[in-house]
Amino acid sequence: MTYGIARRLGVTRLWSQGITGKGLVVGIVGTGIDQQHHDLESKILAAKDFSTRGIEDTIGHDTATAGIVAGKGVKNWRMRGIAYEASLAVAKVTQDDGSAEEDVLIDALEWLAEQGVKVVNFSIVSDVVTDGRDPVSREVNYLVEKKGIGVVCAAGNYGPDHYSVGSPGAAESAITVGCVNNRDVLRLASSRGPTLDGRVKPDCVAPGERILAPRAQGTHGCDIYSDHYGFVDLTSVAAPHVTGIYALLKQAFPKASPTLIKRAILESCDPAYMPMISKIAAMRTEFWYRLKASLKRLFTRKKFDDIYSLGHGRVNAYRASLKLKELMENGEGKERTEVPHSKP
Amino acid sequence: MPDCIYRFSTADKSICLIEPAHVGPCLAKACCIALTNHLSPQFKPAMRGKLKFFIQTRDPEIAKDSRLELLKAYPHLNTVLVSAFEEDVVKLVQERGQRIENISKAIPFRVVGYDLWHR
Repeated sequence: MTYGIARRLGVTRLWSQGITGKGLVVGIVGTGIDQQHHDLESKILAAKDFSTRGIEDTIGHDTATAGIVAGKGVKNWRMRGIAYEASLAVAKVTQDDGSAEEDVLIDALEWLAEQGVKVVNFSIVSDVVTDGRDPVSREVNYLVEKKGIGVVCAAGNYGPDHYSVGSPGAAESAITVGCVNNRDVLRLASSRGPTLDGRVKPDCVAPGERILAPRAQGTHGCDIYSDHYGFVDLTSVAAPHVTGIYALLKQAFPKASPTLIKRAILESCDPAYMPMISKIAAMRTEFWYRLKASLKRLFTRKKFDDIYSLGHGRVNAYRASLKLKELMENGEGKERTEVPHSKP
Repeated sequence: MPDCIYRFSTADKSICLIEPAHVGPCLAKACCIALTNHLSPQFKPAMRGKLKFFIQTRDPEIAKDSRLELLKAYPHLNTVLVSAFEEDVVKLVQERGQRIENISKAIPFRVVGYDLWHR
């Protein structure tokens, strides 16, 4: 992640206050990790391979997400992760083809909870749309509500159609993240809500266009920038920005519950924007349907498209910290609070 | 009785195991399954073999049914993972569906944008 993005998300203002994720353990569920990468070595407190393929990252996906969350930026401080002093617990769940099974994911989440993680980054998804009652979504809800662990999920890259958020992004308690480009305009591929039971998802959006991130040795699944870095895209890499911000907020306010942190993040979002082409692409191809739908959306249902595509907007770490401080001072953390507008 | 069940088809839409014609109402009712967007060619439609199912139930007797092979239990989720023939699961639902909160066929997860990551 580059310094420019950190500044845009308000993260640098938290860094200047000494909030860097120190003392926190962040869980990463995914394709494993390159433990030799100079930005990640000595950060990994625990790693377990649930795939029987070895912990090494042969795809490169979650070496990149781990770097965005907690990369040290050893050779260039401008490439630090959001919570660059946080530690990592890594659960590898995917086979060589990038797929994973539900029972393995549940086992991995349970194991991460045992490692004392405060937040989990979940950048793999199913492409099956659910209402959040599938087992992995329920496990995510369980971790958040019963164990106090935040879970941040990628929304998926199945946009621009609505009803394209899969599991576990559909989990009610998860923070589900779509992606925007560098001008805060939604990317077409970012999955969109609502969920099958009509809830707003994604919850928010974060940068997901040409993000500079650590590259696992021997992988070529990105636009290569150098031997150790590459540019990566879409919601997989948007989610770890929010995971990092969650870690910073948790460090600053250790007693804040996951629900309260989620609420602070969502209520402090900056505006994000819909591209016009996205609206057209989201329509069906039949002429009359298209005409009817465009008129309907232009005059009556514009909000439908916006809120179910962008959620509450683009995250802002500094504003979230102010909001969380305000909520804590008002005593909101003492009781369970509901995220506003989670239902339309 | 559960509303429906995860099932992949060769078409771009998944169908309900209990009531195939229920896809539209499922979406309207927001029950557990409706449409899939990008059905991966790697995932074939249901085969004539045992499949994995997650069964959410508070009744411990369900998992002891002789037609089911218990693979794992998740007590905190009131869920068991079983291996069974699809038709046996249908019969189970027909017989004891009122004690079952939800059934889902194990669904595959993938790295988001895997194609991008494995060029």
